[in-house]
Amino acid sequence: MKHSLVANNLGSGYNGTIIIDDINMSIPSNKISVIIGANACGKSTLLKNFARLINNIKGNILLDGKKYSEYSSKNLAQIIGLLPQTPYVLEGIKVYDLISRGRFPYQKFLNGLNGDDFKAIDEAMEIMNIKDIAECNVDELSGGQRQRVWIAMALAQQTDILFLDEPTTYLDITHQIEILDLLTELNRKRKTTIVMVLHDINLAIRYADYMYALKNGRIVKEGIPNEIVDEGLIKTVFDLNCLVISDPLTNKKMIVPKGKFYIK
Amino acid sequence: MSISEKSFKKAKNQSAFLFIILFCLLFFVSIFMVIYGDKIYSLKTVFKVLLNDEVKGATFAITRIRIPRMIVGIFSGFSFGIAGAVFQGILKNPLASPDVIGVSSGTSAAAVVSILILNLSGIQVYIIGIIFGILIACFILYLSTINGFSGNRLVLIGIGIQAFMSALISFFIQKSNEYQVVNALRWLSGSLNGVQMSSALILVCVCFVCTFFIVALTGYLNNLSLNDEIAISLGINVNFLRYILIMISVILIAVTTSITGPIASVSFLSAPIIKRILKNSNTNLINSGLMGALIVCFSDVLGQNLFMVRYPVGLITGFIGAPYLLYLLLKTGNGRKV
Repeated sequence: MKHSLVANNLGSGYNGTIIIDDINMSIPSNKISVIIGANACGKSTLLKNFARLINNIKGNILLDGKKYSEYSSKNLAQIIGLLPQTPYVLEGIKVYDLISRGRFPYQKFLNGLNGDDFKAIDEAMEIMNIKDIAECNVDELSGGQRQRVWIAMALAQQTDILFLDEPTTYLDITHQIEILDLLTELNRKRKTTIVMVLHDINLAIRYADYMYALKNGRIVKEGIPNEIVDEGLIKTVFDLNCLVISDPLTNKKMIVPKGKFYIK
Repeated sequence: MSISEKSFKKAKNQSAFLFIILFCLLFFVSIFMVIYGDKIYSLKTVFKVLLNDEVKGATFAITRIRIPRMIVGIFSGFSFGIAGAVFQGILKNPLASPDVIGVSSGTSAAAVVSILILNLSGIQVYIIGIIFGILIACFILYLSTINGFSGNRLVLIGIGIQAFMSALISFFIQKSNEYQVVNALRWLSGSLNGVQMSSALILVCVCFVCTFFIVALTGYLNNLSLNDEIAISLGINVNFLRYILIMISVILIAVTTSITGPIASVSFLSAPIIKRILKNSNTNLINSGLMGALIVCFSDVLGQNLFMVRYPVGLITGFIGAPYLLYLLLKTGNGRKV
């Protein structure tokens, strides 16, 4: 389903302090968008505003032309999903149970899970390839497996839009690629709009259709990653000197960071 | 059948099986509570009395003393158990109990003051106890939600207020005469002595109503106990849900405490015991309630019959709770997360 999700002059923060300001964004529907920026530039704050975890101080966010408050919470939960950073895992919760929580926005009051719900849960487990660990405790899984379970929960929620806050930060390289591949498949198969925060610029360039570069709470540049990334942008956003080369595998751009040592 | 459906059915069956076992155990303990005592009445006698046949010497004891005692034992235990499960789910902490929100100590303080200073008794004490307990809980809840709810803040403020209430109670006890003090202290230990049928019926009604609402919110509570951010993105209004659940539990505990006094440990023991047995991630509301009922009834049977002197149920449950608390604290020290 196509949705329009637009932020107009958005300003937000905590306890009255403004962290992000003058944000005007129109999230591309059915595409994978990535937000990059240095630590503490407001990426998480921005994502949390979109995922309605915090309220904005200025401006607004419109989903299909309407403010979030004009939707019922459950309705909104069927459209927008979130994978938070390092989510807390309840002790003793099993994989199938955690995934089933994603069906909550569809459950009628006083009713349990029905056939559709079980189908959605099984499908999510199938896509994330975790059927064989369905009965395991989530807190006994490895980081990569756990992340797959959380994404499966978001999948079971069958939202049209999915926000992910640094989904790969705590994973090893194998699992980083695996998760990004899975998200790409999800985007292609179900046309899910994906918006995620990534730290690895090169992975962002490779996997994203659209990129937003954030600095000090403001968007300094947005566009197709291969077009907007250059030495100047990396210097502005990260205060880092780099060399931009061509990724031999994808022919897209790739940045090579310049540090103090070992440069020829 | 799908994989997840099978897993769910298995878990549901385990839960239902435990329910049946607990229910049967409770059934037998309650019958024992009515039959056994200073005088042992046969089942036949009990039936006759229940069918309104006058049996000399038995009717009064059974209908005015033992049956109300049994009913209050069951329903007070159930109330403490289910409220404990709710609080542990909300605060995500197996050490949590409704005591932290001050309702028990508030109700107790008000009841003690009514008995000692205002020389009230009966229904007046109940009402004052309930109102004050609810007020204290609202106060603590309000303080802990300034600038966003914090479970830690709730616990800390609750501890502070409880300490204050304890001091208040001690102060008034000091100022009163011997006879009243004994009364007050006995009340403070949590006891099923002298409970009337009218109180029992009120408790049953309040318990049913509150339990109904709490159980209706099971799905919400289960997701709240996951993670606030996940709960919000699943469409739950977490603040509103917390308020409602806490208020319903507070009302339940306030009414229960004003009838029996604070029965130690039950609210914080019941849910963790069920969790150990079932090893699942639900809040297990009904089973926790049944476990609470079992603990109270069983402890009362012990307290009334096992020793040379009769001890109030709160003393026995306190004895059971202390080693468990110690065990939990030691286990935490070994690196297992609480």
